[in-house]
Amino acid sequence: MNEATAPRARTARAELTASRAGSKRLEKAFLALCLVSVFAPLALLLYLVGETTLDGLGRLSWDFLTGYPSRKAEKAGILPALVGSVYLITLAAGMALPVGVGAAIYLEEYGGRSRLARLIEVNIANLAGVPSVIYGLLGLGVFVRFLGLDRSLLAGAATLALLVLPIVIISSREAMRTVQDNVREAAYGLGATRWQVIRSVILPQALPGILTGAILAVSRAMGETAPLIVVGALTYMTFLPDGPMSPFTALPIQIFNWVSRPKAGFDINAAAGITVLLLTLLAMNATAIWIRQRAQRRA
Amino acid sequence: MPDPIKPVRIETRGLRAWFGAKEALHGIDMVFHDREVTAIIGPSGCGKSTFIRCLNRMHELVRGARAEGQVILDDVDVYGKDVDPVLLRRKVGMVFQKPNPFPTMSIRENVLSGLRLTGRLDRSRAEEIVERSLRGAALWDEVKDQLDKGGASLSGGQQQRLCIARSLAVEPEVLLMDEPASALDPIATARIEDLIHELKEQYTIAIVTHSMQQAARVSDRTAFFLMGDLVEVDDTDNIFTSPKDQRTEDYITGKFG
Amino acid sequence: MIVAIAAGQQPRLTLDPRVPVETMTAYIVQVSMGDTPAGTLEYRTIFAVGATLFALTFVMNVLSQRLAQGKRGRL
Repeated sequence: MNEATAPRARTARAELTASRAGSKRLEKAFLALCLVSVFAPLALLLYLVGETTLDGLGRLSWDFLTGYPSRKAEKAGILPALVGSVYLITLAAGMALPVGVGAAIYLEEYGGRSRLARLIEVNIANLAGVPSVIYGLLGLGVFVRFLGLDRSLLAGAATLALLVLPIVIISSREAMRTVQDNVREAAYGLGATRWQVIRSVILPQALPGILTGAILAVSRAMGETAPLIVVGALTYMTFLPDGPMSPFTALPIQIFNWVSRPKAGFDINAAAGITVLLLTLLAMNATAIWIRQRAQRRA
Repeated sequence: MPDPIKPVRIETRGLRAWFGAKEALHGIDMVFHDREVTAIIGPSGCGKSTFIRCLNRMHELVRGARAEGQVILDDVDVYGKDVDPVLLRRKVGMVFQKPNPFPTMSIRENVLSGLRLTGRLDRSRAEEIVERSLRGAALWDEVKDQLDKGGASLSGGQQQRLCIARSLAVEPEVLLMDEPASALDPIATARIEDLIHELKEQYTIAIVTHSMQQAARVSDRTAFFLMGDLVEVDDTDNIFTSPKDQRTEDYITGKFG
Repeated sequence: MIVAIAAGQQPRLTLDPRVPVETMTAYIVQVSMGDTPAGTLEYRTIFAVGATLFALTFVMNVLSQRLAQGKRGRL
């Protein structure tokens, strides 16, 4: 080391080794805070789920799944609610998915930046943030009364379809947007029409994302209570729905009904019902992940 | 020694192009000869990519972009009212800067994608088309045992040759290449350049490149673009040894760009 | 909805966070559970409450969109 560089080396050493104890401590504290905000709610959630499952486990049986509601808590079952829920989400998905994906295709691939597309976009974003009970009122006004569907499965499913439509549209658009422009260009460059590009290039690539959105939507529909009550779902139903125009009830409504009863025993039924609902949702999500991974493996 | 003059395949007359309000090409008059490689060189933003994208009407796919003037292909103005750009693009294929195989498709499906997308695939001929196209793109020997693997699993250079095979499968007559080797390493680049040499036996090729060495190596004629204008077009040898325009000379001698 | 159960179902005007109150959602649900023939006062009231709720959330949605857009514009 010659004399000219020695002082510079000294200052460099001082600069590079200065104590950062204060800022390090702050960093650690912040990290701790972040960890707490992640794990505290998670722990609470786990506790709730665990507690509920433990409560309900005793009631979970084949009889519970295949039984009808009863005034006696230990005899009550959830079959009509379960069947109603399956009907509802199947119908709702059947309505919301084609319409939602179609709307997403229009907005993403055709709409461009037209005034109309912009207007629709703003409205969809708004609808996604509207409380679900308002969809119930909409369903009550439009489907039940105006279209005369009465308090039927169809009216309930249509209401749920409206409710999840923004989710389907937004997630489908998001998925289509991830398809890179150069892949689109490649297809156009081969002489494909716009529709051919959409059908054979964009949709297959966006499929995993669209499926994810669809499952989110169905899960949401599965758990909704308020709009169904407003539309006029029954809270006590001792028969099975026999078609789209039949009266109906649903799993969350059955649970809500049991929760609001003061008599002992029904709270256990509610816990068991919640467990069934959770398991169903879990199974659906698992299926979705499986389908998505299969689709992605091809990619 | 330059080849005897070949017939004109494409001619542009007063071709102008815009992105929104910005004019990117200011009236280009130029010809491409049949079964020759024409290179288009020039600094970034000179309009060279825009120019070839006008030749198969890909330019207008960009939002807000439009073109004006004439592009005559075999006596037909491709900007004529009754010309369907979709049909044009089947005749004038394109290879892009970044290799862009379809990620959801296997190698085989990628090659056949142009025909399948447009509903023109004759299944009984599929295997033959796959082999012919991949051979044409000098990729067959490397992938013949893994045709069902994903197109995205190949190396960058192989992907680009797969894209060329995909273009060949629809049997175009003209191939436009937009900096086809700029994302590739030198070895892959050399393979693409060899391939271009072979392809010109059958196809009329226009290649945009930012590499003057590449232009010199692969092309018969070279056009120099600057700021949306065609400065000079001539036999490649002439352009690189005795350019007529001072700006061309400045560019090829590295004074700017 | 779940909030409706947790917050109670007693209409009461208070700022005291410890006593049960009633949310707009809970009110609508409560009324809907009974029989509400079209045209009655109850029927109309839930739509009025719904419209109020919608207006409130609408304003918040628009605000949040403005904020999000302002951010994006600056990038």
